[in-house]
Amino acid sequence: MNTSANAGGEVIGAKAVFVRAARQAGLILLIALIPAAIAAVFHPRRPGWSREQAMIPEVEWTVVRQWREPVLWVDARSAAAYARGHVPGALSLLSGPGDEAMAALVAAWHPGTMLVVYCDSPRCDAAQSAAGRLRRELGIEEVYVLKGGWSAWIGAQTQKP
Amino acid sequence: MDRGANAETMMALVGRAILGAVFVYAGALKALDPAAFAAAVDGYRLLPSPVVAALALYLPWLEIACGLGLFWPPTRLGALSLLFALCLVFAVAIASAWIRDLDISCGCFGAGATGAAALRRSLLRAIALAFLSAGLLWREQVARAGEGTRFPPPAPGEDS
Repeated sequence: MNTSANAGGEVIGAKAVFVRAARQAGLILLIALIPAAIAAVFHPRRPGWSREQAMIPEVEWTVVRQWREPVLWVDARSAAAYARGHVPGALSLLSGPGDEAMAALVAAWHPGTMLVVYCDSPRCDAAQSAAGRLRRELGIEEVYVLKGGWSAWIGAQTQKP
Repeated sequence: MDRGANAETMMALVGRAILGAVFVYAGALKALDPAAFAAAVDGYRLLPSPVVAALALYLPWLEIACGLGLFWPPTRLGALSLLFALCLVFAVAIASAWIRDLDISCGCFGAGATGAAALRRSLLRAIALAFLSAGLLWREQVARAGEGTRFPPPAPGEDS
């Protein structure tokens, strides 16, 4: 199978092994393309191609404050951070078992209520993923992520007279 | 084959089974929900959106293909090479997120814990898997090279 492997006891060269590995890797890379292409077209949970499609919209605190609809705050930070301080009335997603938190959220939510999820800072991702999960699993459309997270909220409180 | 070689073969088999199972499991979890995986990849803030979406669709299947490829001798060397490369790429990505202090989860096995401690654990896991695949790759390469010394060239289409 390999020309450099001769009966005289010579070891297959590193180059030959490398070529074989590359050929096999190429085959695997190609094979994986097939289900990926099928998923890209048919998967019910395929991702959007632009960020806007995939992301839950962000909303600023100054905007939330002016909403007439009731707002249900959801805290996507750690239980310890929640214990140190949170937006008044906010439900924590991580303070207890996941199912319990979800049940509490479902109990607190009524149609017409706006869900606003926040995490720690502009650099956190927990609010986006939690908001996405709430939208998917609970089918609630009015889900937003607080721009800037907890740090933006607390900053806005200290600025107020 | 003598006993020592037999034990080594067994160890390699167990190593491959672990590595293959981890990647097939991780790939399957993500293949079920590419949108969630795309959000996780996006959290790393390393890639533009279309690339994130393409990667979220492709990477889970690549992991599954590599994991399965380990169990089929004609693709084993390629699968090990790819898994080693993947582990290195994952480790670099996780390390970069950790250094930038991003509050995200690895995304390796679907939704998970976020934050620095979780990322550190994921980084260690990626490095451990890199070592495992490197070790298996090394053994596989030595085994292949050994073929030439012990046997005459194998018949066409025949493989270990």
